[in-house]
Amino acid sequence: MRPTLIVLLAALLPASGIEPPRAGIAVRAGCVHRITGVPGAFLTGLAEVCGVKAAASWTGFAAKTEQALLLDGEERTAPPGAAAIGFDAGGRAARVWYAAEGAVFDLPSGRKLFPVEGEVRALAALGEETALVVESGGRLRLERRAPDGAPLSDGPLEGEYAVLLPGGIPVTAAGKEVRLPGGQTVALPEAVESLHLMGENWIMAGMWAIHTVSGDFYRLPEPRP
Amino acid sequence: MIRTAFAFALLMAAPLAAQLRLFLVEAAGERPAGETYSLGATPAGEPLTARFALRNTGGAAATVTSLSIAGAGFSLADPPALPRVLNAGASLEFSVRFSAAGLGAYSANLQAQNLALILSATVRPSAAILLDGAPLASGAPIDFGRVERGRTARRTLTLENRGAQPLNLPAVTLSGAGFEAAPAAARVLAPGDSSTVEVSFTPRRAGPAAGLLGVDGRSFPLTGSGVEPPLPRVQLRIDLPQAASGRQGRLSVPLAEPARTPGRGRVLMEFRPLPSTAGQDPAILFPASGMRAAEFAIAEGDTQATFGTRSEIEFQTGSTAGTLVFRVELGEAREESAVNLAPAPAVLTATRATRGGNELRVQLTGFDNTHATGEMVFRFFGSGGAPLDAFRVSPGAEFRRYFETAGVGGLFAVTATFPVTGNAALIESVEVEVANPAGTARSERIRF
Repeated sequence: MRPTLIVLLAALLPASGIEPPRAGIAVRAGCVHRITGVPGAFLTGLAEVCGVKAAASWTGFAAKTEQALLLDGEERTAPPGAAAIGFDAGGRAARVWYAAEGAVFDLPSGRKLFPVEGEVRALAALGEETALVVESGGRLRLERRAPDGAPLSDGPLEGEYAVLLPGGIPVTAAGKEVRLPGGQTVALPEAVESLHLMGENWIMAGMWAIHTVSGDFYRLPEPRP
Repeated sequence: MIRTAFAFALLMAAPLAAQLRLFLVEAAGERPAGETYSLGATPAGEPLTARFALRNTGGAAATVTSLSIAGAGFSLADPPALPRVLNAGASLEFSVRFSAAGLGAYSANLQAQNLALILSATVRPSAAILLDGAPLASGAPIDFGRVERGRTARRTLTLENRGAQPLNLPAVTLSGAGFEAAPAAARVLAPGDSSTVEVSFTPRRAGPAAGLLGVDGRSFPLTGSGVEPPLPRVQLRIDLPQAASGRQGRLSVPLAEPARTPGRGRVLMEFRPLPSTAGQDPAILFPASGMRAAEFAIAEGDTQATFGTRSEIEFQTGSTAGTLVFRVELGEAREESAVNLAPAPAVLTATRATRGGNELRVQLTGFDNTHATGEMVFRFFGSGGAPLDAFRVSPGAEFRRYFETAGVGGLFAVTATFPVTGNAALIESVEVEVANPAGTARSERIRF
């Protein structure tokens, strides 16, 4: 049975349907900047939120300020201090760890899931389970927890910085090297001092945007002075 | 009675009598000249001087009416105008100069009013001194001119013994920062022999420099001026494997020679868009500065400029066709290089196809560096890749308005929505063509 396509030509490409491409966010000096464009033509916008403790973007966006959690434009009260934000396989914010609570919470429900000892550097939702990168004693560990917090797996993770891609796949960095999924290593011109989820298939290492699939990397523009 | 009156007059006048005495004026002060004084020994033709003071040490004024010197080679260097009244305690200073061409001992009689002093001096054997082959008089300056900081200028003194006796040359003396002399040790010069002293000037900083060279009893002022070395010539190296829009390249600034002076310069990007495009492109910049200008520094010894801590800097070619002109500036040096970004078919950097209810959505992200996106074709495929319908649209007007107003060069993200009747799940994939004046871009087959 051949389906029939009905095309409304007049409504196909309204002027408002064409817009600058969104590449994600950059976190610079505690401020979140929107990144538009494509590789070789990136643009860094003005600071939109400052004083962030954590920020990440994939298909969705989340940021934690001192007192609030911002979820795709929605703002909700949050405990003060540091946090880590995790996404689900679809790239939407699904977990948050608050240092002040020492516990992981589900998003968007806000339900407390389980306590964690140590500093959570990254996390991701794996269905009902949770993957976490925990720093303890200066070492990173990759853990997998059941919904009640019961440990399912636990092992060391090499690197100084780490993020978890949607799906819980770790990306780590040490010095100038960033280790991508599949063991691919990217050598950046500068040492990495931070690692964030920048946008779909992009991570931000310092001011470098790295494509998580191809391994291509680009220097992100500094915000215009 | 007369004897008593005379004695009384003597007693009354004595404290008020004038008394002239001769003193030698030295750096440490005055000392009585005594009856004889030696000005010392000097090479032939080299002057010796001594300074004296005729002081009135009495209690009444005195008038000086005569001051003279008699003796070959001796003279008053600055004879004062006479007569001169010297009040009690006052003095009259003058200098005696000696210079003679013949070897031997000389003497003279200095007569100041009613005082006399025997002066003596000796002309000793000495070397003839030549600078770069020409005779050099004592006291003549040796100038090194303008010398770049860190570089060395040299002048050569030749010492010749034109006499019949060996000459004992004392060690060369030298003062002044940046000046050196070699060899400086004392030596003996046999009759008819010559030797050299190389004097060098190596300024450690910019600005005037002065020193004093002492050779065989003669002094020569040394002068020179340190100047900053010139900045090196710069080159422009652009690492852009493919001259096209949507690229990030690297630029470096090698120096024609190792830098001999530190400096700061900058690189500039100028973009000349094709007239047919919507104009400027904000994504054409140096990401590290966020602008079309970036500063660099060079340190002494560098062979290339440094941008922060790196020897290169990235640049973006943006999403607009035109000519990218790079210019590097360092001091007066300029170097320019151009990269042509030719009009090209649109580039699709990301595609996505999704189903939602009775809709198919096709999202395209990319750029069109001509800013003249024209016809778009959507070709749908069913199970097993069987071709279904194809739809041709012409959103040129919408794209033109967007490019003119969005201010993001040729960047775009567009979503096309296709309402479906029937079983949308049977439509497996779509291919998209995007045409512009430079050609047609085709997407890969995008699965829903």
